[in-house]
Amino acid sequence: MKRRLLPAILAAMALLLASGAQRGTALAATEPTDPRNGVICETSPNGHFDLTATIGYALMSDGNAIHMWGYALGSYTDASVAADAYQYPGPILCVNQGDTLSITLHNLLPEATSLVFPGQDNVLVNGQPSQPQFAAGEMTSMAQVAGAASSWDIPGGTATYSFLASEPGTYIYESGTNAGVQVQMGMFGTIIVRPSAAGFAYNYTYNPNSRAANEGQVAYAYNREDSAFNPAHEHVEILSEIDPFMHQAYEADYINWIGGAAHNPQAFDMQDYVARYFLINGRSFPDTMADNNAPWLPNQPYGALVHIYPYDAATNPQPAMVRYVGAGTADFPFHPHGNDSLVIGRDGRALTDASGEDLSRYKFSLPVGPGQTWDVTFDWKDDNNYSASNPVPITVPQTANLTVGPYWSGSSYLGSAGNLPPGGEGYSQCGEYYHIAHNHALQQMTSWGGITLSGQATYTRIDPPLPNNCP
Amino acid sequence: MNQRLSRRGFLKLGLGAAAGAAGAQLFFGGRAGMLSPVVSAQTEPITPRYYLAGTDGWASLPGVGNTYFYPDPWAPEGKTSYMFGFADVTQHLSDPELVSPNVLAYKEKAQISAPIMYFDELDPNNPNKEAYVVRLTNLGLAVRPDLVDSHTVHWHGFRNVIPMFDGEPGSSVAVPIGRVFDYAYYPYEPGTYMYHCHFEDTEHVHMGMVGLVFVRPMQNRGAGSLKASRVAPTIAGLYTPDPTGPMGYAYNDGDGSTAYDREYSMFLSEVWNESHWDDAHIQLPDWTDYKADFYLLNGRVYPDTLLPNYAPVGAPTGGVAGDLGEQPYGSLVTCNAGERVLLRFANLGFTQASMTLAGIRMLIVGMDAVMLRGKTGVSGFYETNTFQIGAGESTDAIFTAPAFSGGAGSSGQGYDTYLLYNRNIAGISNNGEMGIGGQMTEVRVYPAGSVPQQLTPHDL
Repeated sequence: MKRRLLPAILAAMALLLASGAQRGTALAATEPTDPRNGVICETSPNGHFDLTATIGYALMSDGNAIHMWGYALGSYTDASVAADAYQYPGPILCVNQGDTLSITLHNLLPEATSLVFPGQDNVLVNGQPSQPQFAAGEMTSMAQVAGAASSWDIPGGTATYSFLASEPGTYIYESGTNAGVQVQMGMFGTIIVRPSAAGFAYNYTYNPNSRAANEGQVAYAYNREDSAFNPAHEHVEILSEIDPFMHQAYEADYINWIGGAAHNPQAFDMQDYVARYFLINGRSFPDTMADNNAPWLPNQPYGALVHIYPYDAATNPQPAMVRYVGAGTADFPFHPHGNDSLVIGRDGRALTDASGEDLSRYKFSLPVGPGQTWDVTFDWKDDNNYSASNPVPITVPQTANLTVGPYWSGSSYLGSAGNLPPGGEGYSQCGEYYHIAHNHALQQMTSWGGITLSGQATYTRIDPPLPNNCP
Repeated sequence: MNQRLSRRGFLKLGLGAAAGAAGAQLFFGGRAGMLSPVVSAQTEPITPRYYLAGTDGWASLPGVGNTYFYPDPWAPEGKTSYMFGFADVTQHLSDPELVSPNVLAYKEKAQISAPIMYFDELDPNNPNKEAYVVRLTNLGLAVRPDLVDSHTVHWHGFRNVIPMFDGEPGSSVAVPIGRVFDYAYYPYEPGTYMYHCHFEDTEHVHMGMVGLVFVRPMQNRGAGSLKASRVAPTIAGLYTPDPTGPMGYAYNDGDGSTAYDREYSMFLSEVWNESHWDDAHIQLPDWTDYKADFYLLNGRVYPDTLLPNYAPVGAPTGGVAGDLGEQPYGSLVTCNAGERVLLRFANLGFTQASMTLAGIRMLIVGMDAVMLRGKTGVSGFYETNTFQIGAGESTDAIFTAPAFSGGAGSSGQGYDTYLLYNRNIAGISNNGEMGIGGQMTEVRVYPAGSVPQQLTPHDL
């Protein structure tokens, strides 16, 4: 028994080491072109993408490394290479309304997999309508599959999924095979469809070298004037969760499989499922605040810090756009502090009545349910224009009489810094404000073992108006 | 870099030494409160509207005492569960000391749920408007002197707030034991909100530092043909009450569609026995194991919800009568046939509730302190007998009391009874006990003209 297991474990370790060694170089290529904060859109001139279903690893802020399934952007034939390109959650695919989005799925997993696109009409698989699959009268998959791999370096089948992106909005793609397991293991991602009607098409000019240069532009979430937002402040916040025991069970199964044993698609009893990690964009707090492509999170490229400037009717009139995606098993009542979110769309449709009259509304808690997407705009201003010359109407105690938070600048006023107690963290860089944004089912703001403030939480960072001296 | 320079500057100015001396005074006691403030913004400080004291305490949650964590063996007689909370020490604002002996006496006397606070919307265009101030102090935890947590007040849902008055301690400041901080608010958005301590929020919220706060609209001052509210404003002289007007309006509706005759708080929270026992017994729970054992309505569980405000004695646990001394709020709704009653729901439990009013349709007029109306005026009001309310959400529901059935009423006591409860079935259990409990109360409808006019929200 021992002799048979050993090569399997060694192989698994080699696979991990190989992917670790390649991480640094892979990052260097992507970093300069991606924004530090906000959505990283994968685009394609012809609307075609290759996704490889593979294993990978995700790192929790308590140091745990979780075995995952999911997607690598591109076509791979070897899991030890694909695992390096693996990302959790799956790539955010952006297309324009009217494009045909097509995805060729390459399978490196030990079981068949497929893609489903809830919210899309007339999805085709290899040119045929996407349909639930049956064998001997039992459903085997919600859509046609790409067959299982034979080993970690012997790829399985492929399948090409396509549909006309007919309506703008935010959508989910996810596994339709053994979905209770595969989706939970990380097989989901986001699709953004940009509006295309005259005057509403997406024409954002992105300058990777200057935050300020990206300001002053307008984009639209829908073919509606009232869906305008500032494309330099577009964010996707994908809410998900992990049961580490489930993932551990499939990791052990995978190690056995690459050692030659049969794969067990029910390696974990889902009756025992209890989520212990609660994530935004695949990260737990405080990693949620880190930049996109943070080097210590090679397979969790998406940051979740919403980074804005105060609303100003003349100089900063457009709000940020935040697209919430529910990828867990329960409602996540998400609560961004500082201001209400204006809910302008749900599940890829603008909030209107039948005649098109606006029904958007402000909310302070967004109960994002499993499989739902919520499109909100968000801005913030100081209603009272506090400043040193218009001071807060209270007596501010000495710092010694207060407990001071790590993101506190020491001053009540935006753009100002004040004294901080010795020994504090003092993360504020230029007198910017921070407002937390978190799941208000507060047990989901913690993680496994009782670690508070390590779950679904991030911050909104509000920089002083431009020009400023923020880095 | 910037920060290092400012610290050096801090020391250069000698303020470091001053702060050190101030810190030392903590240990000499007797000087609780604010020590030599850096900034005195006002020559005449604003008198706070409310004064809250963060501390610990005990609640009576009647149930079957059959688990390791419940009832807590350390609980005083008549109590079952260890809590954190805010005590209402507003009446001691005029004491000579900031944190007077009267205030200190509230240690281990936390109120469950926290004091209901309400304000009248301010006019942003009034240059002379004065902020509402809520003062917070921290009395420490009697049962856990080792746990020197700070506290804050986070007004959940307050729009366009600066971090200093948001009370989220990571981005701003919190109040250590023996200290005082004043939160200033200019509310411009009427509706139902909630507030809670945000320090170690998972723990402090769940332990009970939660309460309801609401803002009454400018329309209560009267607008065109819409009469002013018949009850007094929170600011003397803000408007002249009209005895023939409604109790108030939920929102600035412009058409009286949110007018009401009575209003009640329906504040939802939860208790997971294990975490409460853990906090008393110097243990830590794994919060991802969370599962509520008790579902509270205004800080009590059924049948105590039927008792009036400030009722001293509640249902027994293990044969000992419950002590409701720190759970002052009942949830019984009494009204006359034909009256419009506003129920202000807010949920600071961790679980989505599904609130049902059996036999009467509720008109949902607002959620999250926003009237349900599109930007172009399209109404989003809807009628239902059950609505869901998730963690951190609020809902404003108005029902019109049906006609009285006659005789002694359906109850045989002179009124008709309608049940208001959480249809999430676990939500109407006390500690898993069979039968009913938790988030449940009654709406009692009397013949027109029987119940006197309501004078204060929630009959406070």
